[in-house]
Amino acid sequence: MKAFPLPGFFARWMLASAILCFAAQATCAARTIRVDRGGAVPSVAAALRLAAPGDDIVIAAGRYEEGGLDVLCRVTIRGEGNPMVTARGRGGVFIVRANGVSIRDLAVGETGRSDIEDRAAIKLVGVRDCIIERVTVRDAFFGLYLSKSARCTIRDCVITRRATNESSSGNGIHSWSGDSLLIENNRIEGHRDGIYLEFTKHTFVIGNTSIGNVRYGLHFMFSDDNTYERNVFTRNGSGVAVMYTHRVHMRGNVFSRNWGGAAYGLLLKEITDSEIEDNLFEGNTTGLYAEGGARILVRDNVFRGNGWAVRLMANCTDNTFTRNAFLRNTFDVSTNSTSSSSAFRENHWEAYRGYDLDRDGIGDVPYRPVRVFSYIVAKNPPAIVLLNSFIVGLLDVTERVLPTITPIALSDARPLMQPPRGRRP
Amino acid sequence: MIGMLFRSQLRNVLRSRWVYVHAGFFAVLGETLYQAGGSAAGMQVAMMNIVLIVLPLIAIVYGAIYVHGAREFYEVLAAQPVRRRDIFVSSYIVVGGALAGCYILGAGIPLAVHAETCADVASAAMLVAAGALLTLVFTAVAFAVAIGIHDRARAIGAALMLWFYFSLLYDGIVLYLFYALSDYPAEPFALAFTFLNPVDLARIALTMQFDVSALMGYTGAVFEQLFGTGLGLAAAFAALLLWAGVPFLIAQRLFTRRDF
Amino acid sequence: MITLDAITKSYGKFRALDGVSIAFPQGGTTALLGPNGAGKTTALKIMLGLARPDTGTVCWDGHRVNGAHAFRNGIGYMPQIGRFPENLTVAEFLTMIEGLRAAPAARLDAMLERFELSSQSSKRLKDLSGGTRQRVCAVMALMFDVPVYILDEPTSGLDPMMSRRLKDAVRAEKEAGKTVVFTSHIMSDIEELADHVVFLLEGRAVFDGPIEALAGGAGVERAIAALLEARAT
Repeated sequence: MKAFPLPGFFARWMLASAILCFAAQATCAARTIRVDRGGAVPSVAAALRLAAPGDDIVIAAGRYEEGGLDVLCRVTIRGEGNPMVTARGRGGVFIVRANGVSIRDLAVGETGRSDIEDRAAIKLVGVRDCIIERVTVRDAFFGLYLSKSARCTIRDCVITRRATNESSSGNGIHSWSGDSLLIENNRIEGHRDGIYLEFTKHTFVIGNTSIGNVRYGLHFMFSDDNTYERNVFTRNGSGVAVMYTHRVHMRGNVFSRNWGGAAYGLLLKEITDSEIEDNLFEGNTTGLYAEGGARILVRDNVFRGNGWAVRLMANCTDNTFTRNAFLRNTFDVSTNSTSSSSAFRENHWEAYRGYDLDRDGIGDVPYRPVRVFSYIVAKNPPAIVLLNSFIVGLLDVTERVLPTITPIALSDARPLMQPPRGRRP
Repeated sequence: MIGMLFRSQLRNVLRSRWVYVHAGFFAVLGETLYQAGGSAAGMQVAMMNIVLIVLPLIAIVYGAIYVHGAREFYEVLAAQPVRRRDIFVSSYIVVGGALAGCYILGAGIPLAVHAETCADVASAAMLVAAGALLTLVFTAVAFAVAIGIHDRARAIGAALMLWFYFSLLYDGIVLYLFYALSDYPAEPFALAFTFLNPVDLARIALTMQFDVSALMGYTGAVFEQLFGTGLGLAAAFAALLLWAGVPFLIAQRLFTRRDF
Repeated sequence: MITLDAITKSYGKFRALDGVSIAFPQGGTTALLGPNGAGKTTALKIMLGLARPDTGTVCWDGHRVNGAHAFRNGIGYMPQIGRFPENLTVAEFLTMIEGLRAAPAARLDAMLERFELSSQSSKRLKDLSGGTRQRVCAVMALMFDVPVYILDEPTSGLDPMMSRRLKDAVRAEKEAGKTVVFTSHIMSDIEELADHVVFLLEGRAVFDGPIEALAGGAGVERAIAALLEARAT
């Protein structure tokens, strides 16, 4: 087993390795280095020492107990027969410091936890054009950790851990200060945040499944111009929270089964100029929560079976909700304000009891989706236990006939009689 | 001997058209709600709202009227060599059982026909079971009131007041208390109070089936623990049985001691 | 021998019986009389255990019967108002009553015949007139061959012919040595049937003795008028 270098020797050893790399690059063509526990190169560390840019390191099946593996030149590391590289709870496994590195088809993990350093199964530090593909990360503090990296791809990885609370785990995929990343078709389970992006721009997050994470399935801040498509965020402790970001595009995602007082299918805080389209919000305590948002277009989404489908705080301005379907939610829309600067038009409300005499598909009387009971619950949360009681029914009917508390302005003047085409669940 | 009491009273009740009106009402209601809403879940939610109000009302009024109508009959029976307790128990089981049975049948048919998924079947079963239990609870309350109050008009009035209290007033008071005491943590009481009203108990157990996402909000953990597990649900149903048992015992005591 | 000993019974503020002690002689026919509200029905109900006395005891052949129920196997009871489960037929109702007793109703058919109910036995009770119900009550009491009959206003509501048949039946029991206790307003009935009279007034037994002593040869009606007058002064 490779000993872990003491910090004092660390820099020197790194320098030596780097020189070796450049030397090798100068002298030979690309080679394939086979790592096999019984072979000439018995450890990944040894292979990395031998490797020159452009080399392939192929790791044979087996369990390799080593960590702190610095990848300092452009190599491809791939497994055959699903080898496992484990740090046995004593630190990170791979630290990639060179551009263009690929890591494929292997399992890494067991970093152990640390309160001081960000231990990660694979860490990319200040690199470009790296690819992490079909990697299984088991029980790592952080799964894949990208720091100041750009144009990297993380694809088809499975990252799992069994975190029990927020401090006992890092994030599944973590990027700080990144640009133009592609995070695609990964599955992340049981971390603190499934995917965490901070100051990470122009990034595509597509087709991932983030499930059962302790805090958020997806969490980003200050990450402008990103696109999130066809991801599934389900049963995460607090759902999905995105904050302080401009120009977000969210399309075709599923936000489901996020239960709890502070759990949100999607929490938007200070999000502006963004589009939320074609998503499904199902079975969340709160489907979509918006605070301080402006110019957000919420279109063609389905809100089904949520406690609160949409909660809009008073400081939201100029948002538009159109062609959404609201089905079997306990509360369709609630707000803490008696006025509203957000527009609702041409949505389908299952609770709508109006009529359509001219048969143009649009109800002839406006629909006001805010129930008075949602105000009562907002002021006295425990009052939720009175849900479905006779007295609450009476209150709601009274308020519908004689509105006194709910905002008259918050109404859909053109409610759709049927869910928008193609969205009937 | 008690078998004879059962048979005769059951035959008498089953020949009354009201029990069939009762069954028919819920069958028609279920079917209408399904046609209007178009989904099993929608039908069940709407049905829950109606069942929680109407079922206690029917049970308490029918029970009170029955007991007063049967007064001279009870006198005839009590003059025979039978135990008072046997008269009471057979009478309660016949009335409560007939009402509950007709509800199960009437509501059960549209619920069963239109159940689409396993979840639908589970929540339909809950709806039927909770309704049947509520019937037994309010039949017992009706018996206690009608046996305890000799004047027929007053007894029916008291029965209606009790229905009003359990269906509306109690929740109104609770809502007011939440408001008045909003500075204090009310969560512990929020749950306790549901146990003090059988209608609320049934309502919460059913709401866990239909609006689980909302209930998982503030008092989420507590509710999940209590009603989300089989054990909690069993506790809720046990509490409902207790709610039937206590007025039953009170009514029985009043019946065995009353003067005809 | 049935005895009421120092029975007191109040309904709220109204004192129905106020320290009443009566011994009903075995094999005799006793009439309880008195104006409305005098406590006649209350006395019968206390004998049957339908009502509980506030104080005092009821004894059947020297045994206290409070709370027991088996002793009623020896009683045929005809209530004042006959209201039954309305959707049962006459036959079903009488069969049920029979099923509650230790011994079968040996005289069921004879009594149905006597009160001309044989043809009505498959009718529902709710379809019967008041008089017919009263006949069902009579059958219910008299269909059992028991030592004691307790009849509450037995002839009220019956037409003269049925009233006659009832009285004949009672007389037959009397001659067979049965004990009969009945209440009535109808003086001729009392004179015809009773050999012993208890006169109740405002919850007290103001007279208790053989009918001859009450009437003094001058008729029961006059004797009662005299009793009421004596009370008023």
